[in-house]
Amino acid sequence: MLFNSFEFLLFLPIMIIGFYVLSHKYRWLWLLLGSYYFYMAHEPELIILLIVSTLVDYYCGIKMYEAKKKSIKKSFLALSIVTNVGILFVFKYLFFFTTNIEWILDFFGTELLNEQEVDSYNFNNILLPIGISFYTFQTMSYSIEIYRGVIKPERHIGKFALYVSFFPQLVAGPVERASRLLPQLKTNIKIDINNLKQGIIIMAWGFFLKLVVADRLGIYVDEAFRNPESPHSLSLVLGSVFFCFQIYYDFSAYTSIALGTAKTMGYDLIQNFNQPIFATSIAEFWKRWHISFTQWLRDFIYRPLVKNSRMPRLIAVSIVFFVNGLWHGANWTFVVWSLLNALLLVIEIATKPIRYSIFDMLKLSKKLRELLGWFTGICLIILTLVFFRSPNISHAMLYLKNMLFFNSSLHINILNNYFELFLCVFLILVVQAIYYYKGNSKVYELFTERTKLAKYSMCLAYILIIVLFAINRQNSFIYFQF
Amino acid sequence: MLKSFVIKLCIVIITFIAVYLFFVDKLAKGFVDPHYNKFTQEAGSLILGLSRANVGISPFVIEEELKKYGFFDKPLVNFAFNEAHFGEVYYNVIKKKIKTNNGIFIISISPGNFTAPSGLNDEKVFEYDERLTLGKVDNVTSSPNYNYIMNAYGAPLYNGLHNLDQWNHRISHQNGWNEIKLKNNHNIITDKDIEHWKSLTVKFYNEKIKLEQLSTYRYNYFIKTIEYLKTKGKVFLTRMPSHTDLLKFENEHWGRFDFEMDSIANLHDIPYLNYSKQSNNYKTYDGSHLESESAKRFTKRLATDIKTYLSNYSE
Repeated sequence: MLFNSFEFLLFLPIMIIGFYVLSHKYRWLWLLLGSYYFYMAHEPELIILLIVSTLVDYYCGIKMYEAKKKSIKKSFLALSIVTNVGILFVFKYLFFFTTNIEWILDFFGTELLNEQEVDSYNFNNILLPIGISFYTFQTMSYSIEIYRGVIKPERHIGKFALYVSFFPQLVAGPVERASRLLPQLKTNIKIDINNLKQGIIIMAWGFFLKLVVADRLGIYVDEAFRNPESPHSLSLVLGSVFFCFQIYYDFSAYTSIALGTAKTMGYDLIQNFNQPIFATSIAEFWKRWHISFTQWLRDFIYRPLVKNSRMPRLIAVSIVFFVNGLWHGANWTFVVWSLLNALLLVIEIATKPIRYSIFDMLKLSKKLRELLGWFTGICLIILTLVFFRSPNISHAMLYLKNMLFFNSSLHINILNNYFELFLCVFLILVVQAIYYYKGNSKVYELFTERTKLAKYSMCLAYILIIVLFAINRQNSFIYFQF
Repeated sequence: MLKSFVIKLCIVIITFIAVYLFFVDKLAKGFVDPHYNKFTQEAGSLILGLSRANVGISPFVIEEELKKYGFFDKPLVNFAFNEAHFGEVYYNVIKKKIKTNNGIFIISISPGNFTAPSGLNDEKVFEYDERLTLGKVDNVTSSPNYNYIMNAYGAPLYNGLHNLDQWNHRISHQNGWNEIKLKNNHNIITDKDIEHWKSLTVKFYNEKIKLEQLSTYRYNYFIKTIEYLKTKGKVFLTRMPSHTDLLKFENEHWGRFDFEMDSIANLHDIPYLNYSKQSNNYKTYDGSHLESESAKRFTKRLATDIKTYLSNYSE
């Protein structure tokens, strides 16, 4: 079920009303059934994977906690990880893996399967379960934290199942830790008007970002990336700049709706963004972007590699970014995108002393240094995102080539609708101004810290903006595919 | 406090719905999009097919030429457009659209009518079609058609505040024909423009062939559509003129296309009017689609041939 669908607009009020009408004792069941229904609205049969992942982690969690020997703990942790990674591998990466193996064997002149066998093992037809990368990583964090002794296992299977499948964050995060979400799910929440108000406002902001801004930018982005050989470099530059904002607003919109939905029922989910566009370096960008997931990578891959395995940081960073790329999709474009970011990060760290000495020599003020860092950082992020958006590496290379080797044409040959183009730029400026003053987490204050008249006017203005300027395409969220 | 909150929330929701419906209605009264007029009336006769028929066959000319045969109690509607591939979705919509048993049905065909994205089985092709305009719209005969605007109109509603088609070389007629004029008050589409657009069309075809394949599902529904239309009147298959480069491209990928269509026409006792070899007599604006004057001349030729067939048939 899409957040931006009519079905969700009916589903959510029913869930909220049911939640507050029922006593605390039965709420977990209500939310669990609702979450499973929410998931099954897309591909009903794939619910089985969610249930398998839940049962295995529930069992492993308890067994790990009860085990006295470290070796037994380890084997249950391995079972949990193998199950989750196995599900991910089969349903997300098997086709990718087999085509790459095939390609390598072809390269060496060996045929693994004949054509008939290839047809009978058509891995391309395996459905990608929605949200699989999110819930498998979430449950793995649960198992690893029990193994490390950070948390105790949840004994109530229903509440644990709800932690894995809680519908606001089920299909595209944030990737919640059990230590944050499970205690909240156990709390008896009283109806609070402020929670309802805040939740609705955060959701409204998300809908604005998605329907009015991200989907509008998407029209230009799709057109630009459809024609990577365009002779109009400026069109390609615009396409890649717009994509940077599109993916940010699209994902941020999803997160806002998820946070708002959870808030209406009194639950606080983790903030996934902290003004990443204003980051003054690549390192800072990654601390502010998709926070719940980057923290996951930091805590469960990077730190163990550096601390326990004493791996050189450079290699650890490369491994983390390789996983990050692969997590996004079974395509080398994501891996290249992520590894390029790793490379930039390493260069940034390695050149820090030289850059600082040059800045000192030029007597640049702190503000100017930050501005320079921001500008170079955002330009490089935008360039790498060309790989993220392209269907394959050659497409990305062609796009970059035509974008960077500027020709004489300054004509922006995308769709020839200059009003819409102007609107896109204007909306980006407005959203960034709001984020600059309020941050990602305080946008709701725009509507709350006002006089009554101002509130009503803003409400009416919001309605008019959504009705008149929304792009009615029911586009799914970009991060749904991961 | 909760009561007051709920009341306020209800007011906001009602205001939202009212504002939305107001602007939907406002848009419906002006220019919506080039396809909207195809969905606003019942039809007695239909022009079916893809975009070539959408711009290249004028219902006005046919109505004028065939008026003595009395086919047009309910209007002749150009119900062809680029998403109208043969399949269950198009078939069901055609059934909803036709309201008489004495119509004429001109089906424009080219290899493009029979393609679907590669690797999809019948069920998936159906699902693919359902996500397109024809699958989204339940009501195909009302005017104003709010159902179309709510489900298939992909642009923002502020367009309802003006009454303009953004591309001022196109005239969208009430009967569904989208006429493309080379000249308007502001500028002219030059031969250089046409040559450039043709190169883009060739490129588009080359890209498309990599992603699509001929589909037996579409082929079967093509037969099913003919069989159904035969119960509702006279059916004519036609292959329209286009630029020779594009026809060559099509024939390279489906060499026996004309032979197979001719066989199907013979089998169902309907005429196959093939104008692809007369392409040099007509001018396109992008290599594939006829511009206004050529569209009128072509339609006249088509109507004359239909008239001849009907005269022979009645004898």
